[in-house]
Amino acid sequence: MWKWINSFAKPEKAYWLCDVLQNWFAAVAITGLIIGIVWGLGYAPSDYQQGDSFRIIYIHVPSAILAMGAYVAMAIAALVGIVWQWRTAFMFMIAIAPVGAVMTFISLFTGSFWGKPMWGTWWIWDARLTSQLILLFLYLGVISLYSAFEDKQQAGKAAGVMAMVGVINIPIIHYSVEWWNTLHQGATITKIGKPSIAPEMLWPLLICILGFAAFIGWVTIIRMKNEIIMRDLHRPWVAKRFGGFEGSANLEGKQ
Amino acid sequence: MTFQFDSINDFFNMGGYAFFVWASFICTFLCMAGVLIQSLVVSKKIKQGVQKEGARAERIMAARAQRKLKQQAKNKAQDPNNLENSEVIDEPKT
Amino acid sequence: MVALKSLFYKDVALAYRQRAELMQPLMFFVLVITLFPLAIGPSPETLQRIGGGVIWVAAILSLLLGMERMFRDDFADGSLEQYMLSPTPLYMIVVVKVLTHWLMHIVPLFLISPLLALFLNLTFDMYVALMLTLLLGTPLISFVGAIGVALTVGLHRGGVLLALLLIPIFIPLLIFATSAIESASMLLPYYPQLAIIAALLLFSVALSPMAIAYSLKVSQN
Repeated sequence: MWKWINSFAKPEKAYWLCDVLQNWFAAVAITGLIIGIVWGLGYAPSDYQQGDSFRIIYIHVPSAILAMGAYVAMAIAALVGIVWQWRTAFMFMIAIAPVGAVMTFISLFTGSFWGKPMWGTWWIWDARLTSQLILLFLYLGVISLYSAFEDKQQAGKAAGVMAMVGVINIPIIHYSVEWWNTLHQGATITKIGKPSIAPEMLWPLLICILGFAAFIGWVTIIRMKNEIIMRDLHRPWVAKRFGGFEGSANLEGKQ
Repeated sequence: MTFQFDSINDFFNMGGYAFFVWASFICTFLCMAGVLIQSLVVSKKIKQGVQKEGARAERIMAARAQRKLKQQAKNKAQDPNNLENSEVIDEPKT
Repeated sequence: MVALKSLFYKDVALAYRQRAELMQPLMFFVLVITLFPLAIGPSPETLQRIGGGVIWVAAILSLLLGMERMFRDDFADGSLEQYMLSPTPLYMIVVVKVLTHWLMHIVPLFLISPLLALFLNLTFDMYVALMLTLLLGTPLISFVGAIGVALTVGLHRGGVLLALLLIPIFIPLLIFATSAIESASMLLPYYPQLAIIAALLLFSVALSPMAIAYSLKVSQN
C-alpha cells in the first residue's frame, strides 16, 4: 500500500515534490507571520502583570516549540535514512538543521530579552533556557559532524546517528535540567509559571506558531532543493531541467 | 478587536519596554530573513553553475565534433580512393 | 568467546606497553583540578562547595581527551576491518573494547581520586558519593562516548569535534552526579541520584553496542 512512498527516495522525485510544496509553504508562512505578529503586537490585550513586554511571547514560544519540533523532524529523517537507506532523507536532515539552529538561537535571544525586564537579568539558568541552550549545542554538533566528512553519503549516516542519539537524550536532558533547576532555586522565584492564557492572547499565538512552522518548512524546502542539485550536479535530469542541455554526464573520455 | 495603544508613539514605546520588545522582534526578523535570503542566494548560484556546466559541456562536444570532421577531411584528402574504410563519426553516447 | 578473551588480553597488553600515553589524561585530570584552587582562592569552604562539580567536569574533559585511543590504532592499521569480517559479532567485540578501555584508562582515575578529594577539601561522605558516582558514571561515559569516537575515528582532526558532540550528552549525568555529592555534603541520602545514573548506565549498555558497531561500519566505509 505504501510502495508509492519509496519513489521519493529518488532525488528527482523529491525535487518535484519540493517544487510543488514550496509556494504553498511560502504563502502560509507570509500570511501567518504577518497576521500573527501584527495581531500580537498591536491588537492583543496587554498582560496586567507584565505590561507590553509580554508581546515577546509571540516570537519566543513559537520559536522554542518549533526548535524542538525541527530537531525531532531531523531525527525522524535520520531514522528513515539509516533504516531505509534513503539519500533524500539525509538531504532533508541536513537542510533542516541550520534552520532549527536559527530558531533555537531566536528563542534564546528573545528569552533573554524577555527575561531582563521580568527577572532583572539577561541570562538565567532556568530549565527552559538551559534546555534550549543544550539543544543549540546538539544542532551545532550535527552540523559540524556532517561538514567534517568529505563523502556526503558517509556524512549523512554519521550525522544521522548523532541526531538520533541526540533525540533520545532530549527528554533525559529536559527532565534532568528541570529537576536541577528545582534543586537550586533558592534565590529566584519565577513569576512566569504556567499561566492560563486568555483566548484573545491565544489566537495570535497559534497563528504565529503556524506561520513559524510554515516558514521553517519553506526555508527547509529551498535548502533541500539546493542540496539535491548539489549532490546530483552531473546527472542528466539536472541539466535538462535547467537549460535543456544534454548534460555534462555525456562528457566522457578524452577531451 | 481594538488597537491596544492610544497613539503610534505609544505603540513604539510599548509601555516602557520599547528596547526589549523591538530588539527581540528586529533580531528575529533579521535572523529569519537572513537564513531565507542565504538559501535563495545559494539556490541562484547553483542554478547558474548548472547553466555554466551545461554550456561548457556543449562547447566541448562541439569542439570534439569539429575536430572529428577536420580529421575526416584530412583523411579524405590523403586517401582519395577511400582506402581506409571507416566512416565512423564519434557520436557522444546518450 | 575465545576471540573475545584474546581481544581483551591483546588490548590490555597494548595499553600496558604504552604506559606513558595512559598517564597523559590522568595528568591532565590532576592539573585541571589543581588549577581551580589557584584560580578561585584556597578558601576551604568554597573549594568544598565546588569540589564535586570540579572533579566531575575535569573527569569528563580528561576522559574525552583519552577516548580517541579506543579505535584509533585499530582503524589505522586495519584491524578494525578484520574485526568486521570476523565471525564474532561486531557488537560483542565493541563491548570488550569499551570495557578494556574503561579498565585501563579510567580505573587509574579512580585510584587517584582520594588525592584530589584531599586537594578540594571534600568530606568523607562526599568522597564516598564521588567514588560511587564515578564508578557508575564512567562506564556510561565510555559506552556513550564510544559512539562519538566511532563516528569520528576516520576524521583527521576529530578531537575537538568529539568533545563538541559528546558534552551535551553527558550533561544529565553531570547533573545527577554532582547533586549526589551535594546531598552527601549535607548528609542526606543520595540513592535516587545513584539509581538514575545506574538506569542511564544500563540503558546505554543495552543500546550503545549496536550504535557503536553501526558507526564503526559507517567510518570504515
